[in-house]
Amino acid sequence: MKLFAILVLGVILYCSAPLAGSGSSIGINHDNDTSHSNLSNSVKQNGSENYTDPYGNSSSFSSNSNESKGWLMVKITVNNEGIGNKKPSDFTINIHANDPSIASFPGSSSGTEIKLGMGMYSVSQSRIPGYISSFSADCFGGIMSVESRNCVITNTYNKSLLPS
Amino acid sequence: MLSTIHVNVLYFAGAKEATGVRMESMELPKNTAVKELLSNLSMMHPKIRDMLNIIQISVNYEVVDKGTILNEGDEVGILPPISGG
Repeated sequence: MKLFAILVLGVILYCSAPLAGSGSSIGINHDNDTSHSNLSNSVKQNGSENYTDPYGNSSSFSSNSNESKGWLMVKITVNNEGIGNKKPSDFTINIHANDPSIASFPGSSSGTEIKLGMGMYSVSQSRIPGYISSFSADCFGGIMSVESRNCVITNTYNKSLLPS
Repeated sequence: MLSTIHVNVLYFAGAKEATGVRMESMELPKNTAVKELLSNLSMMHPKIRDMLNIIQISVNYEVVDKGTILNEGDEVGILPPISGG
């Protein structure tokens, strides 16, 4: 019986010990944890954070909103076939997407880079009579953050399809 | 009165691989039939010439025969047979 009483008392003391020593009743108590107290932390205005641990190792994290966007490169090529006289910039490109950085712009042979929100997107182009416009596979579809796609639109002059 | 129409041609599966494009936007004479469009496509993309006898054609999401006359704004799908396991 005496042994049982000692056992019960021991259990009660053991269970109540964590509650007595800290302000939190559940989980790990960090109040006396000094292992992270020497961390220096700076937050820059662009959303990036730099940490330096007690050993002098630094690391940075960025929460810049650009990181949650995909990248789309749109290149326009024109084959005038010796007859047409249009330039890539004569074609107006329209981006249909979530929050594109540019929604409409003149075409460029060197490419135009656009940032897109995650989701479905498509690229369209203004029509110019006499030209057949071919869109590559990446001109349509879905994009995730930090992904990149290359859309190529080829405009070929083709008088034979038009009535004479 | 328009003397030309604009159609978008969508290439699927093997046709996409053969042409290297997903979609083409083109201007055609009014009253162009699907078979005339296919004839033009085979000239533009010789690699799909062999495929033209076995493909299905859809216009605005409905499978049609090759005599169908195309209209302004039609969306034409080039649908090769699909195999798989």
